Amino acid sequence: MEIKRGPIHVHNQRPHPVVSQETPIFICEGLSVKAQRKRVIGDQAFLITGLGLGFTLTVQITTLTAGDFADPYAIITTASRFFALTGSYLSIIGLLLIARIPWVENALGHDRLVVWHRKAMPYALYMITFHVLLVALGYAGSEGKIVGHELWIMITTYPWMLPAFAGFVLLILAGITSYKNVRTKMKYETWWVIHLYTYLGVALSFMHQILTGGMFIGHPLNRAYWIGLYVAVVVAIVTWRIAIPATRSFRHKLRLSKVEIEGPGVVSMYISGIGISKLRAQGGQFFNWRFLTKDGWHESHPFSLSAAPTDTELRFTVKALGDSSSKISSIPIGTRVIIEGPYGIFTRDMARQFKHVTLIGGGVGITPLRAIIDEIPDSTSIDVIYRARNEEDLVLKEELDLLANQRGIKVHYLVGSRNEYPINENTIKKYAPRFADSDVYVCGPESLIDNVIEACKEAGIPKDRVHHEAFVYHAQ
Amino acid sequence: MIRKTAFLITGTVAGVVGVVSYNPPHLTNQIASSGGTPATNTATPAASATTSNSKSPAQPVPTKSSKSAAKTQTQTASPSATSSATPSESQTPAKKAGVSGTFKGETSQTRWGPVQVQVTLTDGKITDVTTLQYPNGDRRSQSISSQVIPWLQDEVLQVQSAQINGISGATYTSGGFRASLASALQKAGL
Repeated sequence: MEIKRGPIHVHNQRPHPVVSQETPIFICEGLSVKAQRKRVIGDQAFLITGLGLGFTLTVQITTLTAGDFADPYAIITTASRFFALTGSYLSIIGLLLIARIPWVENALGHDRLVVWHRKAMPYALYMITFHVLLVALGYAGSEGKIVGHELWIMITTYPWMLPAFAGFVLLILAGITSYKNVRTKMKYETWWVIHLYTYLGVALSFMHQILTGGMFIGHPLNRAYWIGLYVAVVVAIVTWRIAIPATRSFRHKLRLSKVEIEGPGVVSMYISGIGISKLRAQGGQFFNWRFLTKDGWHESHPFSLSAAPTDTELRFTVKALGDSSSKISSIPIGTRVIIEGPYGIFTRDMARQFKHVTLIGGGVGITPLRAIIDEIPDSTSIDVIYRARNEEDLVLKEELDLLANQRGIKVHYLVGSRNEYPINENTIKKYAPRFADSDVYVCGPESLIDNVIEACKEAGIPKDRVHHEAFVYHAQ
Repeated sequence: MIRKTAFLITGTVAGVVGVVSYNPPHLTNQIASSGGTPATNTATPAASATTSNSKSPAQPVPTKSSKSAAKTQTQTASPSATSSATPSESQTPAKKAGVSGTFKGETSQTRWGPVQVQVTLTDGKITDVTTLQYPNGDRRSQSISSQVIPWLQDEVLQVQSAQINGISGATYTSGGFRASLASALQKAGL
């Protein structure tokens, strides 16, 4: 039997890669050049974001007048504008976080960006809601009207206020449907379409800002800044979310070429094309895959490569449990594939040394590790610790065994309950004696990652030698 | 994360301090005078810069043959309207004779938009007041302006100076009106 090369996959369904809260704070000396460059770019991204926030605040600060604090209602109106500006700025940042800007993706990691998007956007929504309520309250108060009536007057008589309000409703809908409890109850497609409408919502609210915002009327510089901000976001989204994925997929002529059953419910999908090495994908990274079938074209699936990519082939491996994943395994051979990616910084490049590497995988979390193995130098000694609840959950076992025979990696299967095989320093050391001197890669459920991070801390492994990627499973 | 937050905050502070030190808010004065902050002058931004050199010597000398003067004044005015922040001394002779002519005030920026007033003087007396620009960026401003501006104009004709009371409920527009009126009268040498 020969070793399959190609990606393997990671989630059962709708996998949403997520990194645990404990982001490693890198220690400065001794970082690899690549890691250092990434850190600098990451810092710059934060600096620029902060600068933009500063400019946004000054849009209001420089146009403040004594009248803005003249009476309580004026203060409420002023506060409302503050919420409008910062809320809008935050939502702009939210769009940029998921705009797939390559150097940001590479520096900070796609999974983290998505997590930040999820964490920050509720606050953008709260602020925009405050804006709507407070402006109605402030105006109503200064004119002696009832709030509801004032809101109605504003929506019906002010220019672009009705579209703005419609946009607000769209944003709220996306917010509600993204709450965990709601989201898990609804179909992904529904959520996705509603979420797509947030672009429209943001666009609809733009004109009322420019035309009725006191900080923009008669202040061309402020207006230019604000328009520039929105234009930049549109350009970013069109470029990196639409144009580049489309041209890449077209140029590399990506099609589904093979579906291989790996075990009960586990399939490997092979995507072939030309000149794939130009994508510079690495083991441990993932793509968003979109199969152009009649009923599946609008869905994209984030799956990790389960083998290092070749110039003609990519592979990912899925555990086909849920609806959508089993749908995936029935996609006809030859279907065109649109990709976004590669994303992720869970790669061999992050390793500080290659004397010894310990790979720890939980369940389907083994798949990106399997791909990373392909790219680690032969001279490196590798220990793989593979946690799974039961025997059937061991994905890609044959391949790993083959690698063990041919390349001499050591694979340790820990099959059973968590109590049976608690992941801690002792357990890991028992199977990987050089654990403390190694670079550690871990992928799996968040609890596993937390345990490994803890074990690394106890073993005195510096944080920059611990690399992790977590997966949160939705829609189970 | 602490490190990144530090970068974020540094950026924010730098942005705020940078812009505010260049263009501070006008908290003490409701009306941001257009002369002080180039960024805020929408009305005729190009004009205010260029005209004072080329046309100002001719412009502020209102002739006594009032009608034609008024006309030429208004025609040439559009570029030179907001210009002469420093009215030239050539006005002094006219003052004594009782000024006639049409004078545009500077554009005052208010919370709700620019206000610019034009006064017509006949022999030192204010005979007409026109408001060339007023806040009308949105319905609310439009309705307030259409109501308030005629009152303000009437008041000027009565008081014959910039010492108008203003209209409560339209504080910004009144203030802007007053400032622009004052600059127009200053140009006229009153």
